[in-house]
Amino acid sequence: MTETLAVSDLWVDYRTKSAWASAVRGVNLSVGAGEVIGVVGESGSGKSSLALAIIKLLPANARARGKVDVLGKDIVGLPSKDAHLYRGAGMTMIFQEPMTSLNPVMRVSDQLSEAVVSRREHHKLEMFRSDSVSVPRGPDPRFSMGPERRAPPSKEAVEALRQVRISDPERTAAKYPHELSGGERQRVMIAMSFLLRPRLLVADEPTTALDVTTQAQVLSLLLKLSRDEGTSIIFVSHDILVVGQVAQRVAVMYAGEVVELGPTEAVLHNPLHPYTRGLIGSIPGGFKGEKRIEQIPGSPPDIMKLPSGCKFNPRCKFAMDRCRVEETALKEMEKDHFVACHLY
Amino acid sequence: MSRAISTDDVMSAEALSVTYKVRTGFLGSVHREVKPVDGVSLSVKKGEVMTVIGESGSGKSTLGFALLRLVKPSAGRVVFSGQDIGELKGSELRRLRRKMQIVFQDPYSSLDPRLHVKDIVSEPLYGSGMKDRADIEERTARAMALVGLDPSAKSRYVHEFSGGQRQRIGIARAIVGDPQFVVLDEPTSNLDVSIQAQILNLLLDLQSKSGASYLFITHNMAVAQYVSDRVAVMYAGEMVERGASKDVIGDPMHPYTKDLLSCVPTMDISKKVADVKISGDPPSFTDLPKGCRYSNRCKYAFGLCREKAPALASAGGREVACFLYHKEEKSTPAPVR
Repeated sequence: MTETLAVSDLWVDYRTKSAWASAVRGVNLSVGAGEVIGVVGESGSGKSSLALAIIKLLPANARARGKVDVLGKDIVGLPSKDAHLYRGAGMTMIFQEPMTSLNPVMRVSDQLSEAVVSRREHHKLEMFRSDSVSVPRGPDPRFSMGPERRAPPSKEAVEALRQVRISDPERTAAKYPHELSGGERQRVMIAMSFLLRPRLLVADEPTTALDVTTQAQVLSLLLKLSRDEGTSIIFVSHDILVVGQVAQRVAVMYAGEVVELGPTEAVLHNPLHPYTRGLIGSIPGGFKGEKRIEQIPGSPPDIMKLPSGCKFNPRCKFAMDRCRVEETALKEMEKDHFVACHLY
Repeated sequence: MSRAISTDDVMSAEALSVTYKVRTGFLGSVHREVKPVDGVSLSVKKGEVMTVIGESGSGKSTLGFALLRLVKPSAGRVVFSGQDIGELKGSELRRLRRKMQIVFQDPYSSLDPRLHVKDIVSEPLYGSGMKDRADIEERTARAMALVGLDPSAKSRYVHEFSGGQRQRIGIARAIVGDPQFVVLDEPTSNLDVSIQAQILNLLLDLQSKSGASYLFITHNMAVAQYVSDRVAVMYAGEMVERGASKDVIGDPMHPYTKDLLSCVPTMDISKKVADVKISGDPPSFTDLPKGCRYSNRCKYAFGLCREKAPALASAGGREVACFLYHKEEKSTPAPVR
């Protein structure tokens, strides 16, 4: 049985004036069916570039190298014009700010119906089970104006809104995105995923812009999606505690590399990499004056000026001579718990 | 609710309200008023960190702005070190500003990109009417050293700095005039966790050294717990619970505070916030529920809650605005719907 997603030796480079700068540097990652995996990192760690490379939505000034197998087929070499065949029922993405993903001039119900149409078109193709990707010719289903598109809010759309616990789904279906709150918009995005029933969902900081009470609701819906539909989820966040709420495994990224990967419980309570330890140590905890939180000195490196050897060595209190010259690689320390550090 | 203003209060507000006029409807044809801060009383004692906790739209930032007269209150009184600042104008107010400062949330938009760092940091001194160049330069250098900025930074521009360094510049600007009172409006919410730790520790160190009073505004419960002596929880423009941090965060009483805390992810991953059942969203100011503003989401709400707004009153060693704890009001007959 093939994994839903297998990323091997993936590099993402951005073109700059003088050279290519690598934001993702040789990442290996696999996600099983129905698995939720968390990707944690600070700004500039490459976590968003990784997410965009997986869904093949990198900007024009970026290139991906390596392999990204979605449902057993490599999509790195796939022409961009054919990528939409994988998006939709194959894989979808939820962004931090849902307003930028929703069409401001389309009613919620029409956008949800689009998802229904897209799913039906995908299932007609049956491409996810065939051995070779056959690119269908003829009109693109996304731009067709068939009767399906003009139909009133379908029962399916309203039901999807009810599933994501939107009060009064009939009324919400007739609204435009700007009439909704941030939490409602994010729930509409998730409703769309419920309609598409994708095999893989990439969620990039889906709750960062939301209040904690709304965040709890959204997390519960994502878990429901993975449980009910068997959707695999890549949950990208800067907040390791939020990731801990949903993920079975966590990958910690620093300067474009995965520095630690393991079961959530092990990474949170027995972190091995000095960076992971620092990240967890810097989470505020306890009342004023009880315990001073640790701080990692300095700030993450600029991808144009990466240090040699281990990329964390200038900020690491355990750094040895070897760390300054020799690159690190992931090593399995305990069962399924990997770390890239010369200490081990 | 009025009470005498005590002498160890550095900043206090009585029944403070802020009203904004909004236009809705077709081409803005409908004029309405919203009150993001509605009759809030608050005091910050000398040398304490008071934290206002609230979600977006709770009015917490507007409250901070109103205390500093960055927005004009529509009702109520603000007293800063014994002076009613509502009556101050022009140069009088400007002179006072040096002593009551603010650090903004976004270190990108709150610092002038055309000024050198030293000019940003020294601005409150010039603004308050100081003229002695040498003195200003010395104070600026001292403030920059206190926040951990290299002296070479003074002739650089803000775009050359990272988010964390920019926030240090914003803090240096706030503390340069030795303020007695500083509003910190979500100072770390745009920063990475490792940088947030640096800034929180810096702020606590500066506060204990200077003995200044802080009003810390945040939506992050863990941050609130880490920095506060006292906390106040706001919901839809009103204060719902206030007291010592250990009481309110350690043992919350108001249903909203309880719900809010139960939604915060912790290191204990067996405690799933996804299991927390809170329905609905915070109300909009143009469409507030009758009675208690949390009544439409509260699982303990009963008849009276939907009729009458509870006042902030003492219970369990703190103040709570909830009928569950104010028995005498609860016993008054109310029509049950």
